[in-house]
Amino acid sequence: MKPGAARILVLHGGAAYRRLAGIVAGVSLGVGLLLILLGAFLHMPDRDARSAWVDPQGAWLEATEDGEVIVPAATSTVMLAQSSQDYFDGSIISVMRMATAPDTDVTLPSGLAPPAPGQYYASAAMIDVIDAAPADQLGQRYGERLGELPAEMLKGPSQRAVLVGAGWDAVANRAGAVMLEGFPSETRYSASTTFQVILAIGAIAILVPIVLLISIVGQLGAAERRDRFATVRLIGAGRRAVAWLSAWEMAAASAVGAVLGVGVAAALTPLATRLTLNGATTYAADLTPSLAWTAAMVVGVTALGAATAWWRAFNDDVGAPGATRERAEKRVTAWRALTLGLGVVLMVGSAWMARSGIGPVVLVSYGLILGFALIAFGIVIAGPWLTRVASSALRRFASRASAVVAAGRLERHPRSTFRSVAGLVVAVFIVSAFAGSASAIQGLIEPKDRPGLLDPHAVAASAGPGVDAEAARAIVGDIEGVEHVAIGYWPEEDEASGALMSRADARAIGATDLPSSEGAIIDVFGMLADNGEGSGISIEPPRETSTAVRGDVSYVIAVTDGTTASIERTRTALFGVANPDLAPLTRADYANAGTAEVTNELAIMAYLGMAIAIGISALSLAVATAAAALDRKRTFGLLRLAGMPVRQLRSTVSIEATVPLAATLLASAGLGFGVAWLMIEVLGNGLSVDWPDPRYWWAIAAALAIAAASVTASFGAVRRSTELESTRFE
Amino acid sequence: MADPIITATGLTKSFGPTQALRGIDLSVERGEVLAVMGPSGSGKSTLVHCLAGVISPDSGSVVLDGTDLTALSPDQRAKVRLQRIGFVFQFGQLLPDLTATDNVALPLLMAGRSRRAANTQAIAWLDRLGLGDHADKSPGSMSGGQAQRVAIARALVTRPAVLFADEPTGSLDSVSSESVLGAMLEVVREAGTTVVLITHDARTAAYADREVIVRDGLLSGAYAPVPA
Repeated sequence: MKPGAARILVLHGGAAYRRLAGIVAGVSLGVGLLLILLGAFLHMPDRDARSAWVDPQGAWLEATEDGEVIVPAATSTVMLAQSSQDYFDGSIISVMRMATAPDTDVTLPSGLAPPAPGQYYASAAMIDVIDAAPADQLGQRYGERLGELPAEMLKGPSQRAVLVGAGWDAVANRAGAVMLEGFPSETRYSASTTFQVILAIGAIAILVPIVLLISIVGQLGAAERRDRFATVRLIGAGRRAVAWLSAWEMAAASAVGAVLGVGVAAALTPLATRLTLNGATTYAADLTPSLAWTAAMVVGVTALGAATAWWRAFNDDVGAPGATRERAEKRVTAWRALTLGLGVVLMVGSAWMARSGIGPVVLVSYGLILGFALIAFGIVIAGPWLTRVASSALRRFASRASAVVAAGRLERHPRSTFRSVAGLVVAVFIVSAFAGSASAIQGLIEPKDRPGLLDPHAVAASAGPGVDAEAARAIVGDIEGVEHVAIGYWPEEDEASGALMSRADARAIGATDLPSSEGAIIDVFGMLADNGEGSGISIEPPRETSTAVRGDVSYVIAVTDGTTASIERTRTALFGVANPDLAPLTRADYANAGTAEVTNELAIMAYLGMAIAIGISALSLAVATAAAALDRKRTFGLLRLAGMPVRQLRSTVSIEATVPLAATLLASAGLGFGVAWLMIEVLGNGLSVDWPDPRYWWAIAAALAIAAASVTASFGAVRRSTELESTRFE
Repeated sequence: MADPIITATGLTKSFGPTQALRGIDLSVERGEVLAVMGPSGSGKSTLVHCLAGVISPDSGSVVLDGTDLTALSPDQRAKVRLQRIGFVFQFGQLLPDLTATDNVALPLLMAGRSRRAANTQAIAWLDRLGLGDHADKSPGSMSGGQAQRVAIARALVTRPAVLFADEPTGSLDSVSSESVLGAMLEVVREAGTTVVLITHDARTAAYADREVIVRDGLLSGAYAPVPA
C-alpha cells in the first residue's frame, strides 16, 4: 500500500490522532516503568556484591579442642573480619570490625586506607545519624571517624553501615571472625534472588494493567476504524495489506512510545531511588539498565506491538462494509477457569509437599511461585467468564431498563467489559495476598498482655568475660534516665540454664511468679525473645535455686525511663561491659531484627505497586467507559430518542463497570487471602492470618473510589455524544 | 369535524448556514396515515424530528395531542416521546445486545412497568407481528424484515398516539417491504394510531391516506395518494 494512502487511512481526524497519542502515552509509561524494574532486577546482584563486606565469607579461624581460638599470624596479605549488628532508635546498623597487619597490602575500595584500631568509616546515612545524636548516645561506640564509606561499598544511600578498625587479637577472639585474602567481595548470604523474584512478580503486576491500557486505547474509535478498513477491503485491498497497515501503524506508535519511555524512566528514577529495596534505598545507576538492554527493550516493544497488531488485524477480518453486522464476542465458557484452577492446585500441592517434607525445596519453591503467577493470570483469563455468569443472572432478574441494557451488553461483550477493570482486579489479588501474609507478623506484645516479658524500656547486655558486677552497676547506674540496673550470673548448677538473679532485680526487669527464695533462675533470653507463638520462643518460668553460689556475670540489664535518648545512652555505656559479639538490645530491637523490617519494606513495595496498578487501571476504566459510550453513540442516542432519561443512561454505564468489578473483585481478594492463608497457616511456624492493617482497607477504598470517579468522568461523554441535536436517525 | 393530533405552525430550523425548514405549517389528523415525501436534503427528516419533539425548531410551534412541544424542556419532551410517540427507522434501530423480547419490552421498562408485565406484552406484540418463534433471538441473527417487525413491535408496545416511521422499508426487498408495511398498517389502523411516514418511494406512500411533499424546506403540496 502506498504511504500516502496509508496515511489517509490511519491519520484521519482528531479521534485517530487521540488514539495514536494514547498508545504512545501508554507504551511510554509501560516502557519507563519496565526499564526501572529491569535496571533494579539486573543490578540487584551488584548491590549485594558492593556491600558483601558487611557479612564477609572467609575462612573460619581454627580452635583448640577446648574451644580456644588459635590466633593466626598477621601477614601483609590477609585480614581478619567479624560482622555484627548494632541498634539505634529502632534501626539496625551493620557493623564490621576488621584488623590488618601494620604492613598490610590489603586495600579497600576507592583506595581507602584500612582503619587502625579505634578508627572507623561510616556510610553517609550513618554519619548523618551519628552527627545528629549526642556522642554519648551513638558516636562513642565506634571511636574516631576516619571518613565516609564510598558508594562502591554500599547497597544504597540509606544503608547504615560502619567499618570499624580493631586489634588483630581482639577481632580473632570475636565470635564468627573469619580470615580473608584481601577485602571481602563475596557475601555469605544473598537475598538478591528472592528480591529478583519479587521484582519479576511486581513487573508482571504492573505490566498487566499497562498492556490492558494499551489494548483499550487501541480500541478507541474501533467502529469507525472498522468501517474505514472495510471500505479499503471493498476497493481491492487484501487481508494482508490491511494487517500490514495496522502493523506499521502500531510499530510507529510503539517505537515513539518506547523512545519516550526512556525519557519517562529517566524522569521517574529520582522518585524510584527513594524506594527501600533489600534494606536500603537505591542509587540511580542501580535502576538504569545498560544501553544494550535499553535498545533491546525499545526494539522488542516495537516488534511486539507490530506483531500483535498484525495478528489481530489479520484474524479480525473486517470484510466489506455493509456485509457485517454487529458481532458478539466469541462465547466465553467455564474452560476459562482452567488456568486459575491449575494455579490453585499447584499452590495447594506445593504447600502440601512443603508441609509433608516431600520433594526438593527448590521444586516446592518454584511450584509456589508458578502457582501464584498462574492464579494472577488465571484471574484475568477467568474474569470474562465470571462477568458473563454474573451478567446472565443480572439479565434474568433485572427489572429496570438500564439494567436490562447493561446486562445485554455485558453478556455479549464480557471480554471487552472485563478488560477495563482487569488491572484493578489483579492488583487487588496481589495486594490481598501480601496484606494477608503481613497480617501474620505480630507487633510487639506488651508485658501487660503477657506477664513475665522483659520490661520494654530495658536494655539487656550479654556480659563480656570478667565483668565486675559492682563496677557495671556503677557505670550504668549513673547514666541519666536509668532507673534500675539488674545483674544476672551464670548459675553454678549443671542442669541450670538462665541467669541467677536476686528477687529485686528479677522483679525490676519484669519477671513474675517469682519463687520465695532470695535468688531465682530467670530465663532472660526468653523474656527478651518471646513474642507470642510466631516467635517460636516461650519463657521458662522462674525457678527456685538450691544454691546461692554465683558464677561470673552473664547479663547486665538496665531499666530506663523509655526515652530514645536514655535507651541509646544506656546502650552506648553497656558496650563497655557487653560481650563484644552482641550489641545490647531491647525487646523491640530483637523483634525488629527478625522479619518485621523486611516485611514492612515488602509491604511498601506492594502498596506502591498497587497504587501504580490502580492509577493505570483507573485510567483504563475511564478510557474504556468513554470509548464504549462513543462507540455506542447510536444505541444510546436511540434510547434517548425513545425517551430514556440521561440518568438512566448513566445508570447503564455504571452497571456495565460495576458488574465485572463486583463479579471478580471479591473473588480476587478472597483468592489473595487464600494464598496468604496457605503460605502462613500451612508453611508458617504457628503463625495465623489475621485482619490486614488499615493500609489495605485504605487501598481497597481508594481503588473503588477511583473506579467510581473514572466512571463518573465518562458521564459527560455519554451526554455529549447522545445529544439529539447532533445525532442523525435514519 | 377535523381532529388534528399534530399542529405545526411556522416551523423554521437552520443548521449553520443551511436552512432546513423555512416556515412550514402542517396539521395531521388523529388516526391518519400521512406520507411525507421529498428528495434527499429537502428537510423532511428535520420536519419529522421537530414534529416528534426530538429537536426544537428555531421558530414556530408544534402542538401534539394538546401539548405544545416547543414550550417543554428536553426532559419533558423525552417523557412525551416515551408515553405518546413511537419510532421506526430504516435500520440500526434495535439494540444488538438484547433479544427481540428485551428490545420490545424496553420502552415499557423505561416507563416503569415490571419486567414480567413488560415481557408479557412484548411477547404478545411479537406474536401479533408473526415473530413468536423469534422472541429469544438477537437482532444479528434475524433477517432485515424480521428486525423491522421487531422495531415496529417496539414502537407500538406503549400504544403511542403517533408513530413516526422514517423509511421503514428502505432497506428491504419489495416482498419484505410489502409484508412489513402491511403488518404495520394493519395494527396501527386497528389501534387508531396516527402514522407519519417518511418515504422516497411512491409505492410506500400509496399506503398513506394523504401525502405531503417537502422541497427546499417548504411544503410544496398535499395530495391524496394514488393507490398502488
